[in-house]
Amino acid sequence: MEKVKILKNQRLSERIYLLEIAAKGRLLEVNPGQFVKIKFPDFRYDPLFPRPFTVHSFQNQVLKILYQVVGKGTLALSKLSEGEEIFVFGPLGKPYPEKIDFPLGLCAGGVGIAGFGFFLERLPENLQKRIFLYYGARTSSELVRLDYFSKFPIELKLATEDGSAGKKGYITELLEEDLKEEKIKILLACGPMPMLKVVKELSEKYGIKAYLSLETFMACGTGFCKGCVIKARKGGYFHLCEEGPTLLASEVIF
Amino acid sequence: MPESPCVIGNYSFRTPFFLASGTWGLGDTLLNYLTPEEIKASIGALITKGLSLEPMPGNPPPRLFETPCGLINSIGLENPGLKAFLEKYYPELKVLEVPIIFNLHGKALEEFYEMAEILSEIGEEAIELNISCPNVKEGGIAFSQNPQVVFELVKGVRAVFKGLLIVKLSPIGPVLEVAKKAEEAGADALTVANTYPALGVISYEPLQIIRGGLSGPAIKPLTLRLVFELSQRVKIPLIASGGIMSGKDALDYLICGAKAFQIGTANLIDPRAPIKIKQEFEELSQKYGRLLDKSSS
Repeated sequence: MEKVKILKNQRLSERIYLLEIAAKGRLLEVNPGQFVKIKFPDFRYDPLFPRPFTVHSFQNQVLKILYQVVGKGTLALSKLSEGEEIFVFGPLGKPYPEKIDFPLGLCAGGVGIAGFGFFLERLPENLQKRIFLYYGARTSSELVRLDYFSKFPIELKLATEDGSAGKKGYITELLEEDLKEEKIKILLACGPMPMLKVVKELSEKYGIKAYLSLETFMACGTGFCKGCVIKARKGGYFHLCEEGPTLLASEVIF
Repeated sequence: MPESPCVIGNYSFRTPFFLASGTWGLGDTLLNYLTPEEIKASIGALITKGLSLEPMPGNPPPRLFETPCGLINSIGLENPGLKAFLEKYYPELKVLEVPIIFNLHGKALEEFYEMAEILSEIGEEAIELNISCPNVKEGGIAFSQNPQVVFELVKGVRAVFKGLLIVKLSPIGPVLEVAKKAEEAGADALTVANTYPALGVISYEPLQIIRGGLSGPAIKPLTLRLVFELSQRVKIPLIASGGIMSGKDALDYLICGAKAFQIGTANLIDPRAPIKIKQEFEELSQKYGRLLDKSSS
């Protein structure tokens, strides 16, 4: 576990924050799709477990985490400010799959967008040009980091449930329009379970491969506790922290 | 003084800190976080994930729920089975030259005996019996709820296994009687104790609950009391297991009668916790050495 200083912990919307830390030690080895665990520097034991976060961006040794306050762990994190120290442990989990076809559709719901930043940063420009990024949220204020994503030469498509930005409706509706036109060859999705369910169904309907970045409550992140499971189609379970968090949609049941 | 080696039965361990069953996986990722030298220097024994005669897939999710200062788990004893463990995972652990204690659970007495025999035949030297699992033949009530059944279990295992035999008590039910019976039947030591049966309401819509075992700092005062009570009633050594997060926690257990300590939930928070806990414990032991001599007399 590395003790690192918080460079910034900025509120981007009502519940979404961007944390910046100076990476060091093993953290420097992180690859897109992997996650880190963050522990707070106190002795209260509540929250007891460090929380897992996908790496959103990693440039010039500055590691960024895009997170949403959903419970007491993320609430505690949101209260920390510049200069305070936290413990960061990682990298954990498997990176995004290496062999990936293009054109590639990235489908993000809410802060599920996080990992795609780091993914794009590591992608050569000629391949960035072959990316469709579908980004949906409940409302326009929750579509964060648009400036950052707009800098990549990608096709960015937005949707909000209330119609305050982009197309009104679910992001998967925009995705389906392009799937119908056979614009993309493969999908990588991250977001709430109901969205991932639809992406999985779409991938089956249109016969294309889809990778899903999944989430469960995680305790250890190291393969020690065997707690973060998702049902495997072949029988038994996948352990998300060891075999995931990104798995082939066709291999999981949820 | 709690200086190593730590002696339990006829066995001596380099340190009194053991890794608790199920809190370091099957061991295949342990070396990602600790070097063999660190393991050797800080960990007295590695207690395997609970193993059964046949492989078990474990429970469907949700398997985990965090509570204030605690963790409820319902892993469902997921494991590849004793034989597969011996073939696939054990060889890499053996080379670490740290004693391995096989944690076993069965659906019936005969399953425990069969596993004990397998281990005896290959010359294994240490077993920890998980008696908190359901005795399917007896209607699914845990072995630990019936002192006479525990007596029979320990006696049966003792008959086929000559090595170190530890019984991991459940913290609920007739604990003191069970401890007495285990001792009478030939157990060398008792692990005090397993997780506490607990329930968490995860969500209302959809309604999701988890029934499992509670561990972590939340249970430490409860298990500490158990260790104290048991230390007055049995003669065999007690191995404390319940919310040990720091050197002070271990020292508390030592003062209350424990001889060795299992680190469990702390490993899930930080795989390097055993190193830190051992170091803190040694510093504290030096400071309070005089007090400790008194408490052991």
